[in-house]
Amino acid sequence: MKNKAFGAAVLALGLLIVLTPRFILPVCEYAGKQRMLCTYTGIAEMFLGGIVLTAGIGVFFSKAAGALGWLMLVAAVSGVFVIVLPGAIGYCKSPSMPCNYGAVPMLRLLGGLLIAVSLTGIIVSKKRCASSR
Amino acid sequence: MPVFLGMAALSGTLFALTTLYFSAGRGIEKGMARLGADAMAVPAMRQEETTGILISGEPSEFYMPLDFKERLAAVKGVYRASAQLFIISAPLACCAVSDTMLIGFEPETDFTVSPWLKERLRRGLSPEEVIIGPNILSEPGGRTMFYGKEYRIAGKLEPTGMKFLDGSVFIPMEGARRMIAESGEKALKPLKIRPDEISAVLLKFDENASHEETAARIEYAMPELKVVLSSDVLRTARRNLAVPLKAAMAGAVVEWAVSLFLIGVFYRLSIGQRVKEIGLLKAMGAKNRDVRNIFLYEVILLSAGGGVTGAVAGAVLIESFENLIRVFFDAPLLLPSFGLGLALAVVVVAFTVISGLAVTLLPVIRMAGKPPYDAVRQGE
Repeated sequence: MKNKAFGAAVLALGLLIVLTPRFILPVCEYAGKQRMLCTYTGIAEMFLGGIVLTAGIGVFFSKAAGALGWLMLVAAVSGVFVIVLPGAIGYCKSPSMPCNYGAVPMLRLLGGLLIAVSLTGIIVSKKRCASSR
Repeated sequence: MPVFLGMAALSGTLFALTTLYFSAGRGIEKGMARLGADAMAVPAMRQEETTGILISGEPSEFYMPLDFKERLAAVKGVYRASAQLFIISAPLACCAVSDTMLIGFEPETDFTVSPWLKERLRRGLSPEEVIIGPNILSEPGGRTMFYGKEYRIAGKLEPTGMKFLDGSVFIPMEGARRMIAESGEKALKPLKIRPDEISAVLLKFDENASHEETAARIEYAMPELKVVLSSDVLRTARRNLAVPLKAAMAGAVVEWAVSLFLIGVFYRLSIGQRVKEIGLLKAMGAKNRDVRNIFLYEVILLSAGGGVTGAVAGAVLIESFENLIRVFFDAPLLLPSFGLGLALAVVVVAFTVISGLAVTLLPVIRMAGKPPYDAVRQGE
């Protein structure tokens, strides 16, 4: 039951990360401006979101306590990358640009939530493994 | 946990909404105070565009003959008139200063930037210098180029929350005219603005003059012009935010009521599960007052903890999405200072704690008053 709850949470966050740069709060190119560095940031974030989605599916359908821990670790690390990627690849610095006021803050929020959920999942997995010994 | 989370959600929503309310008020008032004008006279067809420029800072350019300025200054009720010239900078791939409003101003008559210049720079600007808004990604002492002409950045204004002021570059009129004249040779896209053209005239009215009457007098005498009053802009900006804020407030009240009801129900159940422990405590000599205090301290800690967590989360969200909220609601926003924000947080947390106590006090008092034997039997 707990795996299903964590899996659903990670799945939802992964889906939001995939959709945000293109549809929910699009980066500048998808908001009608020209292609800039933020487009590549958005594409990279969508791929990362795909990894998180896959981890979420794995958590949802897995039955092993150990699988939860390892997959949550993948999700947590992905969450860190979601936060760090815009700074690493680049995005528009002007506060009037869509990526600056929309996509990047939203992705960082989703990354933070993903890390929080994943760390909780790792702790729960450790407790479960300890109690089953 | 549900009490903690419920209080956190309540506190976060309340803090975010009150911060937004204060931010909107500050942004509009500070922006209009910095603008310094009671009204702006623009070409008749550009009235709505002008309100858009002032509230959401959408760059726009339009022109009218310079001689309107002298005619406006001579109208009864007008104390001062100062011309401004609006030019939009060329769109650039780097997106640092593309689509930026360049505002040519007259240093001799201006009352928007000049007070700041007197106070901060303590000197005037040369035609080769500019003052930039806080949203422009450059610093004083640096250089910037528009339409092939290079300028030195003499200073940077403080934020007002109004994009018109925060996202613009102010150039002395002589410098702007030189840029236009030289753009034919130096710029990729030459400017076609005549030397006798301006975009708008900022007006300060006499102290005792009625703003509406003076505006009507101007529009009657010069039907080619429309006068946009600052009070109307303030009203429009407030209205832009008022409707969604009121809806959010209504939602928050419903959320508050529902959350408190559920917290009360849950806490009653939680106490009910600990009846046996209460009975044992009382059998060992604990008084009603002691048992009551244990639960009240628990409620205060959970409510305060949830309140602080919610306020912090609300502050982080508002800070992260400040620009998005500004764009979405099309309203000037200026976040409150740290001190005011802290005061708001304290009030919100206090309110959360009082609300928590209000819904849990009765079940706690009832349970604390149970005789020990009944409490232990009930718990079995």
